[in-house]
Amino acid sequence: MKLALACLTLGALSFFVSRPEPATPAAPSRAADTAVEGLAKVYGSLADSILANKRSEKAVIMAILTAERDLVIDALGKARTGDADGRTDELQRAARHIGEFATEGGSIIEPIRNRLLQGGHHHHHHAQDTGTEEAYDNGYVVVSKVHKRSALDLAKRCAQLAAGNGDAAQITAIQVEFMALAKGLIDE
Amino acid sequence: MTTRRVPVALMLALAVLVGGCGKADDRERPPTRATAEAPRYVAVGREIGIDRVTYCGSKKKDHLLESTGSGAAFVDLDGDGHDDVFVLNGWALTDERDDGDARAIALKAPYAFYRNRGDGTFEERAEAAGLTGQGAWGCAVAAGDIDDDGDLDLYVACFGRNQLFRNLGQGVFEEIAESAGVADDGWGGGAAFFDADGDGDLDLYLSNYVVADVDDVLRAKRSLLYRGQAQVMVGPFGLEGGEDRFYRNRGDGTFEEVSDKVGLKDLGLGFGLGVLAADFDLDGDLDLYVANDSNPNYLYRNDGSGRFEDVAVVSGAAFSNDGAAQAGMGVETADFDGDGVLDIFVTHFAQDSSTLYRGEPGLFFSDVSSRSGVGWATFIPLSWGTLALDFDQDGDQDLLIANGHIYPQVVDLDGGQTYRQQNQLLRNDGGQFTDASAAAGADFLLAGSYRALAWGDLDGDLDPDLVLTRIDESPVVLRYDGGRTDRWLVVAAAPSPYPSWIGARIEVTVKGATQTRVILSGGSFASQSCLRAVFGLGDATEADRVVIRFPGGRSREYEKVPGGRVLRVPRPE
Repeated sequence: MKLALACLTLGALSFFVSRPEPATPAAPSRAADTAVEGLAKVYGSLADSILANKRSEKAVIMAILTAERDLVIDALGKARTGDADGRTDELQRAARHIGEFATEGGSIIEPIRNRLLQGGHHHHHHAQDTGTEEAYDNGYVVVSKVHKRSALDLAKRCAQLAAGNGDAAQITAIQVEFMALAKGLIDE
Repeated sequence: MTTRRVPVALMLALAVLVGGCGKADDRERPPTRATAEAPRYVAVGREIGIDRVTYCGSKKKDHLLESTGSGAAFVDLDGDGHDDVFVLNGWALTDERDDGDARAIALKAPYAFYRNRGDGTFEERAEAAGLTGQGAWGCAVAAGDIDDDGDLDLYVACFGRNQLFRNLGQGVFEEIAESAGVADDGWGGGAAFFDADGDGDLDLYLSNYVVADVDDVLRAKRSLLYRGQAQVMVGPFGLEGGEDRFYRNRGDGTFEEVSDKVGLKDLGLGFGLGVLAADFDLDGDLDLYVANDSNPNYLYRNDGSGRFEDVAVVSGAAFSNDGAAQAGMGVETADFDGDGVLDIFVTHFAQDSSTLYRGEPGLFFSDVSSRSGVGWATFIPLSWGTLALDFDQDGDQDLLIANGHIYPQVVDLDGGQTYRQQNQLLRNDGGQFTDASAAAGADFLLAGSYRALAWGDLDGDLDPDLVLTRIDESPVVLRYDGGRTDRWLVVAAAPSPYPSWIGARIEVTVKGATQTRVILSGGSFASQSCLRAVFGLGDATEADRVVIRFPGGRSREYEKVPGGRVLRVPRPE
């Protein structure tokens, strides 16, 4: 927020400082003025669309994360109640979905993300520049670097639990940790 | 698992029969250097006849294609027991542009096939061998015996249509990619042969880097502002990732693309480069690791039937420790810390550490770059080819790394980056690495923009010599001098690298400590090393035990294997 205010202030200042002196009056072109006004309206509508698309982008990623979260909960629930063989499979499934949660949808999203970056689109342009802990990886929308790292660690621990066929208490511990992580990211 | 233990006497007889790099000749037991001189690398390329320049675009480098260089193989291609050198080549482009704003192709440079005469000198005979490449831009090379006829075939991943050179024997090849079904026309970044489905023949994985055509390359402009200071080429971000391919060997010399069918469809379309296959989880089948530039790496677990699942994210081998996708270039695997589990080393871009993934039981990995010392040592340079070799013969695997920047413009920037960089030797001491590059000698430190890095044996003295390619310069050939011959143990396939040799895991135990290597097709960056494993024996003159675990679960064991020789291993029964 502070950064945005600073940018606005700097932008306004630079506008007044660099505003050119009024040119020698020329014959007014009413048609040109009208055209610019019309185009400004178009640009305004376009801005609405761009910003709406950005909100839609976030909504889609939220929906992906919600779906992944539900799949994780489902898998962990079945792992807790299933037999040994089933538990391993379900824990592997849970680990996979936690990994997909960490990466905002997994491999199938990567090409889309790359395509957006190819077109110059960064959802968190300013966060990229700050280099702070809250920064996001290229193209990520909701999952910050910190959250991604936590989720990746959890995915690995869940997969290790699958390899060791973890007990109900261990599965519950994974679920509690995952839910806390997901709650911080997904708007209910 | 079937284990075949070979009695000492029989093993010794085998060793005598098949010493050296090949046949039972006077090189079966090389002259022993019993007095240790400090080992070092000495450049010998020009004096032995390996000197053709490899071209990689224009001087200013306007397109990413002009950054990846030429691959190289250091393998015995004519079956005479001596390692030959095969070097790919690209095109020279003009910096000037025509009226249509395009650069021109000044030269389509031929590949070079340097045949080892057996006396330490080489003759270039690509034309006679059918290996000129016919004007292709060759990027990466992998070797394997695809038809199990006792000689090595070559797959060349190109910018444009790929090539499969079938070895007709005695080092003469025919190019059959189209009829064999492997003539992908993308931009190949890496390739590896391995028996994915356990049917006894070699299948093929091809990593593709970026989608681009010739017109894109000729019209490209340096439009990326690097570190706010210089206009440089764009990519790979800003470009479209190429789709990797997996080809199943039908067993009749042809292949079918079955990526989707076996779980190897490249869903992420990552910018694929280095590839290798190894049995990381010790379940008897070969898994696959792909280093992706700027995208998560892939680790495909083989379920034993030739079906794969990408488990890189949950295994810990997709990202760095802080969750970042790094710029994966080259890749190597070995057991660096002696715990019996294979580790993975991946090289990366400048001002980002290369990553050492420590293997943990059950196909898990942890990024130990920082605590192993690899992180700091590799942070500054831009790294490509890499090999695990026991440079100092102390019984563990050190790391060799080929370095070189991709932007010629970095010389004009602040920050100490250079386009031509020095290679690195990281010395291993119990899993802790320190930069010991100076110990490898002045020639090893000769600056260049290096890419491929492969090892073989120039002169039949068992120690690991190197071939490296450089952008727009001739290859560098580094002969290993010094050390003690009797402290090397080389393990090779007999009579030649049969299909199940690829991916074999070789464990050498000396005084209770076990070193582990894997025979790799592909690996490093764009390179193919000789299909042998070389081990330093420390202060011992024999290995207590050598175990070879073949893909599929069979194994062979040898006891009391003397150093200073080649242990030749027949195919499993």
